Amino acid sequence: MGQEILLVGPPNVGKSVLFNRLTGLDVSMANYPGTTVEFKKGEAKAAGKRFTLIDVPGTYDLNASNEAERVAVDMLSGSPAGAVFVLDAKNLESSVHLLLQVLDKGIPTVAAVNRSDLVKGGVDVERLSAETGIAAIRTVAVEGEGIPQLEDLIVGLLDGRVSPARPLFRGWNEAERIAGRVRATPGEGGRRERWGDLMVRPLPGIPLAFLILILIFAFVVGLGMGLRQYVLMPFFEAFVFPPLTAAVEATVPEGTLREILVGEYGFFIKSIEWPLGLVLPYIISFYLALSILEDSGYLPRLAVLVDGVFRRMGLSGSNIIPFLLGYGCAVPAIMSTRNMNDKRKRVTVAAVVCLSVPCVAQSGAFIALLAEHSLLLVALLFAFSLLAAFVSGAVISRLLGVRRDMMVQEIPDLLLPDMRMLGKKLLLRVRHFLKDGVIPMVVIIGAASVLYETGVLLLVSDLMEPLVTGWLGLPKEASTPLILGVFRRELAVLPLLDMGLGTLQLMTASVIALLYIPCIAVIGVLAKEFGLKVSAAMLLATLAASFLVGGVIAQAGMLLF
Amino acid sequence: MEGKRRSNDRSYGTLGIEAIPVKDPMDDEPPVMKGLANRATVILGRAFKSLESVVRRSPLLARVYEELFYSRILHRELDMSRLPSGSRVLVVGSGHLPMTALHLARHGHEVTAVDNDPHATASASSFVARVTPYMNVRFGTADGVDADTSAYDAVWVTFNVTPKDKVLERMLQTLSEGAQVVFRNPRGMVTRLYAPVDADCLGLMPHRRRHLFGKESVMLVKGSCGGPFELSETEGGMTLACLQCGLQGVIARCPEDPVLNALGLRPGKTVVSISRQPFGGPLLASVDGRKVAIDAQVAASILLV
Ligand SMILES: Nc1nc2c(ncn2[C@@H]2O[C@H](COP(=O)(O)OP(=O)(O)OP(=O)(O)O)[C@@H](O)[C@H]2O)c(=O)[nH]1
Ligand SMILES: [Mg+2]
Repeated sequence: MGQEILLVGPPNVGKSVLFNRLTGLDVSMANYPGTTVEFKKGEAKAAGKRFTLIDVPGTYDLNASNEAERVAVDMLSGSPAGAVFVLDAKNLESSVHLLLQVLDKGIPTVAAVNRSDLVKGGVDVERLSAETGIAAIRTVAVEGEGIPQLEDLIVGLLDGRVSPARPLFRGWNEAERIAGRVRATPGEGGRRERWGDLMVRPLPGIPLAFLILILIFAFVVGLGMGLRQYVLMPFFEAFVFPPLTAAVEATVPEGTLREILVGEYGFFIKSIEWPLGLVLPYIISFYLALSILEDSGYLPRLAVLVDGVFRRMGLSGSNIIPFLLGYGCAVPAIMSTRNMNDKRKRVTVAAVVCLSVPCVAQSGAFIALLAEHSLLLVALLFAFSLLAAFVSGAVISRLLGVRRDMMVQEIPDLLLPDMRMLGKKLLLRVRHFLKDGVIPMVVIIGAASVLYETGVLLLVSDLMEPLVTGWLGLPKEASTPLILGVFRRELAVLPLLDMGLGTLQLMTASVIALLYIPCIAVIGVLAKEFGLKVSAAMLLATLAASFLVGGVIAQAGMLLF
Repeated sequence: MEGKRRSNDRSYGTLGIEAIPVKDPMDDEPPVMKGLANRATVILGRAFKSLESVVRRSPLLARVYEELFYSRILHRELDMSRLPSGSRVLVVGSGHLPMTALHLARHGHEVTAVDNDPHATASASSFVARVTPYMNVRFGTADGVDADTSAYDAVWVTFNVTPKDKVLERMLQTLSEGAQVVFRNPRGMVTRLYAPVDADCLGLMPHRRRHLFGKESVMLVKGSCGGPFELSETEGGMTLACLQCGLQGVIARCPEDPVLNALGLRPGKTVVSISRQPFGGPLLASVDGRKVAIDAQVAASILLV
């Protein structure tokens, strides 16, 4: 471990992009303020010297009262070798204001004026240097411009050649004066800016938002199903299953063991088909859509439009970001609530995500389960998920006495997503799933098939029969997904695939799986973020809600039909 | 109010118009409508008064009336205001049936109730003497427009008080720092019958509680959000929340909030209002070329020159 260099600056200036450039790592970046909520460390090298670079969450002010600010202040109060302060060429005044606060901490600092492609006339970095007493350069992080110069400056910090420069004055007057000297006139937004503004006007913004969301839904489902049916499954059936079956048949004598391994529901077949044939396509399609949304800068605009709905839940429109992330995975969704300053509000968002937002793996499983029956059922289930989110949000926020947040948020410019960046992000997510998702899934499928063969699962099924069959109207075996669902959310659904359920049973089972307790990874994060008591309460609440609502649907359905 | 907001959105025009409107946005209403609304306010106000003068004859009827119309509203208002018990409270427009005053007194406050109709105050005090003689309420005849409220911790302005905007203005002038005003406003459809007071334009951050039947209670705290905004002639209580879309204004006063300030909302900055969401949602403004979404209540605390 080398010396530590901090990367500090206001939100959304491109710190994470610079970090990725300097370290060759991939931390998440997106076109909205507050993407990085926890600091990220990475090893980097400049002129042969190794050092540790830390991507500090962006904050507008060192006196703001949120988690990101707290993390930033903590890091600055440590003893780093130096700091790289990233300024926003487009918003110099507030960048300089923060820079003066950071300089006051007495850490050797150099400055990079990023996003300098967005201003005409350029930024006078020499002037900035003269005014603040620290070395400054221009960068365009997305293009890689100015990175070598930045590395030179970092070498200076590492060698101890830079001494801290405490500013004589701070505050807005000084920041305005310096920014005025350095002068950068913002470039014209033109057509893109007009579009950006149109999107937040109720008309046409609201109809447009509906259209965009429906298109995204269609894109995710369509691309996912297409990938599964025409690419991945044919590939496995042609090139993977036959050699696998042949290999097993050559070594394992005919009988139960061979059935367990490569029969129609065999372990090898399922542990390839489920994670790779069923879930992976939706990981690809969902994260592609999400990355486009993130990078385009549409999300903050959506946040403004949905504020009216979210305020009924005691939340503000900005909270739509954890919700959308939750449709991918609840873990980053819960982490992203860290920049909210009220714990009760964080608990509300986390609870709603755990209860009623299916993760992408589970959504893939739902689509596989329901789409064969009718696409309408899929739409119905997702509509139910939205309704459940709204109702549970309203109820929980009342119970916790959450006071509404008042939205004050920067709306970044619309950007055309960069193809290379999209590809990189997608690859990152797929790799993450292959590494952290597939292996646990396979292990659990394997364990389940052993338990099944040894009769343990049957025993449990017998125990749970009154609940599962009597109250929920499902076949006895439907207790299996309930047990597996504790480990991974999609496994609360996938075993239902081959049970030949009727429409009502499908709906009941899906609703239960949706509301059912979150997976083990999420429970871990809940406990870490909110403590054992809160996570235990959430487990109980989700368990109770799923059996209650599922049972009511089943009983009402049986009465009606 | 909602209706007005939406019509503002339609008038969205070219950015960067130099004119800075200082007029009351109420003036945008066609005069006929305004007249009608005012007339309706007066007529409905009278109707309520006569209803109350009937109800007050029977303690039982009065009790039912209170439960029906007042209990919930008062409960929520007290919850919103968090007044420490024993506060000195003035009720303006107590009417024949001083339910608000009684309720506040029952919660341990020292209540003075005034009405500009001497008949109303007389019958109110006889009602109280008959029904709950030990209640800590004083009655008097006075008009809210020239009352001096400096001795009170809070003022309640009831639904039927007219001209409510003038009364509120007077209250906000004479109250001391930190004192509260709670008033009742029509909302939704009912605003077509009664003209509401535009709480966002008073230059203080309003807190709202909505009730059934088209009423809402609004609480203002004098001196909240960066200082008392006297509603002088030139300022006219113009806040960012009332700035029409497409127009610009210069910030005179703004709460000292690090995030707000960092986003460019500071005194002396020119803001352009770009769009506004229906149902009191956030509005989009642009400062120095930076777009910021601001909650309507926060925008109401940003005073323009
Ligand atoms: N035009 C332009 N865009 C940039 C530049 N650098 C970064 N961006 C874009 O700015 C957005 C924000 O980048 P991030 O790296 O996520 O910003 P951050 O500073 O890490 O933000 P937080 O994590 O929220 O503090 C992304 O959409 C980038 O593509 C630049 O030099 N020029
Ligand atoms: Mg970041």
